[in-house]
Amino acid sequence: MDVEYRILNLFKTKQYDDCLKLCANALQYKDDRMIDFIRMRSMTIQAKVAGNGYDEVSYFPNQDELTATAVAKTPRPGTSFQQKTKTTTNPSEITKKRVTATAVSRSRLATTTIRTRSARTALHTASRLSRAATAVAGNSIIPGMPVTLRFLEKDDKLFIPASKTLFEYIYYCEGNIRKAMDVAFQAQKADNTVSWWWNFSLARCYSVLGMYRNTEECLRQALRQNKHVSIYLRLIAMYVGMNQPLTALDVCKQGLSYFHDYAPLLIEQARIHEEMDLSALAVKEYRMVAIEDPSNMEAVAYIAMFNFYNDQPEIALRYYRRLLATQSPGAEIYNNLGLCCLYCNQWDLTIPCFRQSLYFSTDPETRSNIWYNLAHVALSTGDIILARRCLQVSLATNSGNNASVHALHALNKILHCRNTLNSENVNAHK
Amino acid sequence: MSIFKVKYWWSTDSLHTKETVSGSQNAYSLKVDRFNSHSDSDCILLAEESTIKVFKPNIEQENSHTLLESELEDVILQIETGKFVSEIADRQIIVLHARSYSIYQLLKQEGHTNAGEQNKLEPLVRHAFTRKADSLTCGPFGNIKTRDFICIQGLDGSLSFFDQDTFLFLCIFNDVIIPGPISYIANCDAFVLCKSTWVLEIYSYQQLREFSELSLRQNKQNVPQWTYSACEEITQIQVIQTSSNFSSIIALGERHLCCFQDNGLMKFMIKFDYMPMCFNSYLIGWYYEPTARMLVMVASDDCKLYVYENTTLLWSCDLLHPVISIARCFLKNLPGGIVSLSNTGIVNVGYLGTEPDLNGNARAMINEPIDPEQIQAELDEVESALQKLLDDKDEAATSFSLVERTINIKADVGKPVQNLFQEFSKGDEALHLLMCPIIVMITCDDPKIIQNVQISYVCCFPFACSESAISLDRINGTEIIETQVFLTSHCDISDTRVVIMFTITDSAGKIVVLSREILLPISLYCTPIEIISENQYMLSVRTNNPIVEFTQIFTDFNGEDLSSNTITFGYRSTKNTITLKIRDDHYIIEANNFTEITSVLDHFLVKLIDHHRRMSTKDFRFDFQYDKEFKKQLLHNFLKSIEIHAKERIKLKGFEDELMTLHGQFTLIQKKLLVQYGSLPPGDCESLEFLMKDTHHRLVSTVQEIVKCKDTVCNLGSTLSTVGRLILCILKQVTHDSLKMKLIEEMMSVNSLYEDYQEWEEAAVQGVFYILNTLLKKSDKDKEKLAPVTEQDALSQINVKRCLKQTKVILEMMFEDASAEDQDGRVARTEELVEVI
Repeated sequence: MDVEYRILNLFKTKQYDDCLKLCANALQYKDDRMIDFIRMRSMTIQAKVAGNGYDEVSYFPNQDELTATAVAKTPRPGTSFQQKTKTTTNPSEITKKRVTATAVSRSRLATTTIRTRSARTALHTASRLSRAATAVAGNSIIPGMPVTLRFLEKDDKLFIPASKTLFEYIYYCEGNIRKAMDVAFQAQKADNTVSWWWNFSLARCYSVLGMYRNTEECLRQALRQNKHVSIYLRLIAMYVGMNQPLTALDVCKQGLSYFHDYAPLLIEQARIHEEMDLSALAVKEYRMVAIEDPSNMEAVAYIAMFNFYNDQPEIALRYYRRLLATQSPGAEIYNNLGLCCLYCNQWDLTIPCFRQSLYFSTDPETRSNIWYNLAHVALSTGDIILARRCLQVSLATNSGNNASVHALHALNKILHCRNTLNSENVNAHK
Repeated sequence: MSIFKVKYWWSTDSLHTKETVSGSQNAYSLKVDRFNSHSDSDCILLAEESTIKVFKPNIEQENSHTLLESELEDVILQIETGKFVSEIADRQIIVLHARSYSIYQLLKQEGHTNAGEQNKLEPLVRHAFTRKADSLTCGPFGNIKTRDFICIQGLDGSLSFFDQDTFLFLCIFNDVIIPGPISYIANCDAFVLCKSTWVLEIYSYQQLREFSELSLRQNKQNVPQWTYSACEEITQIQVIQTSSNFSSIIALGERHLCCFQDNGLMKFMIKFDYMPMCFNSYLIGWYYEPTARMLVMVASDDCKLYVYENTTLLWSCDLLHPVISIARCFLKNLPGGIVSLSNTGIVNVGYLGTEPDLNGNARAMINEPIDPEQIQAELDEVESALQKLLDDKDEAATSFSLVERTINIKADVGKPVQNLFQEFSKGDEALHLLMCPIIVMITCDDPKIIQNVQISYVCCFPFACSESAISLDRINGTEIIETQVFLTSHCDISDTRVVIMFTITDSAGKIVVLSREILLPISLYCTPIEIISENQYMLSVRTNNPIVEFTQIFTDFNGEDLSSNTITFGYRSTKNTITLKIRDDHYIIEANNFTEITSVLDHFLVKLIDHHRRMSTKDFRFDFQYDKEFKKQLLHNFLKSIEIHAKERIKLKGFEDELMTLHGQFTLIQKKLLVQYGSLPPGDCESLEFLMKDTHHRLVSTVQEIVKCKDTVCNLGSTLSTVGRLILCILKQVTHDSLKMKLIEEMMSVNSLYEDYQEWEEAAVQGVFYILNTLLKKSDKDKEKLAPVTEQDALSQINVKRCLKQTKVILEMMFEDASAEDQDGRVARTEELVEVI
């Protein structure tokens, strides 16, 4: 079989590693434009997968302090994610409240924080499990990149068909944003019918460079040309990154009016509502997502968490069990199962769940949180000494666990009170 | 993502004998169709390099599953079925090779003998062409009802049309680099092409026909019926008739799946969060029924199968094998099975079973029985041990000394030698010429108790060590480590000691830190020169023992250099001089600056004490004598050096602020410029470019200024600490209140100055303020007057002035206290004398 057919077949069946090996061999002996381009495409796709290039939404937007071209710097009151809510999700708030709250209620309060946090980690891990790798987009450089790639002249008649391939190659494999932008501009000049994709790609470049005003402009223009879901997602991600949830929600709404009940848009909307602490709305949207795509773990995890805080631990337990059945087991899911069991009064399962959770936990922060929850289990059985021990272990694994510090403080106070009372009683009896 | 798995029904795994070459098969290598000769069940056609295999799976074990295997003359690119020859009623098989295609008929002969029935491929048509082929599509082009035409896409993207074995016409496209999938829409007699521009283009057959004639006249453009800019590479296309009027076109991209009606209306788009490998769409019901549902099954690269109806996910399950092609089949005992071709060439037939594998992922719970009493006992034991350790300090102390006992450290300094390697001679050669080896010997009796040792050298600017830290993983016996110390800069020498820290991790992970201090030889930084007898400042040292010759003290130098009672040293770094004299019963140290006195005095005192210890002189004491002018000048000099240091730091800070501003400006201009470059048409960039160059120039010059300024600050810092040390040295001798002395020493914090870290003022201000408030019981008014202004930082003019004033007050107080004490002591002694008399 001819090597070019083999390369083509491997490329079409997405076996890129073998394909690249064959390409390297074949290109040693002869020049072939098709093989050259196949090689470029294969490398691009691999870099794209490794660099999360297919994800329109990056979950940790990095704000550049020096950017003067950002659209808005200070959010208007009431439109920001950073508003301080009165829920228990903010640990720093609790530390401020410590003067007014009594010892016991404070420890309870702190407990719920940890529950939120651990449930949240479960959620986040769930949402991230489906992604392949964690390299930063645009910066992944593949070793052994062909240096002698024969790029085309812009007057070549093949420049227009090749330009998109070239752009993606430069953007993802070489990570050279400026050069990629140059290709984009040249292609736009050469082609009289400008595709929406060029605007979209320019927006990608601008957002990497942190130029949000230009990003927005390009995305809006692309949206006028074609209603593609990627554009909506990028717009939403950009507004979320700039801390403008209301505008992001507006884009969600526009997108949903075009793509009815479309899961990727719904999930973005739900995430924004979740961040804004509108859990009732968020859970409604997550339920819609779960109906559209029952395998979406993020939605299931959130519904479970919502039920848990809605005082329906039995229902939450069922959702968590489903998650356990369909995904690979982890520390967070067992931790959440353990808490559900505790509140469902399934005492026999609580401790085994937590043991399993400890078995799977790897980083000290999670371990510390699990021990904190175990202290809560001990408290609910009335074993203050055991609770104190658990808290001590929690602090030993992660000394930065604020909630544990406060809970331990409160417990020590209680024990101290009890001891003095006891001794007074003894004295009185004497 | 799912608890379900595809149920295994049949596979060619056992029939698969030889290893397939990777890349020999693609999605077109598998075809499922039904033939008249085998009307009871679908046949599965498989191409394996140049072999064609026909399977008819069944559940009976004794019947053969393979209908035939036939070796053809060339490698097979694609297998299709259709009615290519109108005379034959049965569907025929077309096989595409690189430069030819052949049409076969599958014949079945009922067996008369024991051999049973026989199958064979009867060749009908064979046609060769010149362009290298990539794929083919077939159908009743031009609405011809009787038979199917053939369209072959070449590797260069050209389309050649054939009817049986006659060539019809050729279309050439010049925007195809990698040939994409093509498909024929029977409903509207059109073709879907996917080009390298990542645009889906739909041309009618008529158009392509005209295009082939037009292509002779190059200037005419051929506009497609409609296009869709998918803007990702389309990997697979399928056309399926979904109603009596319409067909649906389904295109699979890298991450999206789009579905169109044949008039260009988009029906839906699915965005995947996995990498799709291949898909197959099918109808439930017949296309003329209004209730017909179109489902799409997609196989992912992590071997999962997803079934969608529109955008809703209906089913997902595990496929068990990675697949490159997937299809549906209707076998005799299995209606609606799933045929998949894996990348190793194995064909699997399965069905969507509903036997969930619950908790397939979950491991067995860790739930071995535990004895609570036993655990309680263990806990008690651990806690009591912990308590014991907390209560008993001695035990910890003894365990510390265990490491110290096993490890024996000797640190010594060698004679300065010529730097022969020239490694460090970047600047002034004379300065770097001498270097002094420091030799550390570590002996460990029991190597097992030590995990590793890290040795760090701390020396004061302008001295530097060739290696600042050394890590030893294992000590076996004795280790000898040699490091070099040398001068790096022309500034005052404040401290001539090198501290060597040993951080030892023992086998239990406990860390012990030991340290050794060594004095650098005077010959490293000084040389004896001609005697200079006239000097401005004079400090005399009086001892209670007879005078010792200089030759006995400065043993680093030869006796000849130091024969007389007067010697002068010249500093190698600053070229300044210091003179030492012996007068009757005391030593006199003279210099023109205070900065010279410190290190030589320090060295002299250490050696003197050392000498007397060697002579085993008991009760050796010495004290300093100086006049009032000396004290006044010393204080003045110290305050002056603080002031200059602070001033220079303010200057440095100004430069640093400027650098920050310029940096921001530079970034901004770059961004503006980028926007200009990108705009269409490009805007006028000349002025911006000029601005950028200018800013860059200023950036460079500012950085140079900063480097220069930093050097100055460092030099001034070492001057400051040199004078500070002298003051401390004198105060230590004359003050008897050890607490006060300690406080003053901490306040001066001369150790806090080293190389880049020059924030002495900030450190000292706190100490000064504390001493002022607690030691000197000043009135509140005074305190307020001298308190630093909190809203300004320590370097502001007012704060520096106040700091200077405070320091002056404190140091004067200390000197006054000392002289007062002295007088008291003298008075007391006189009284004693009187009494004795």
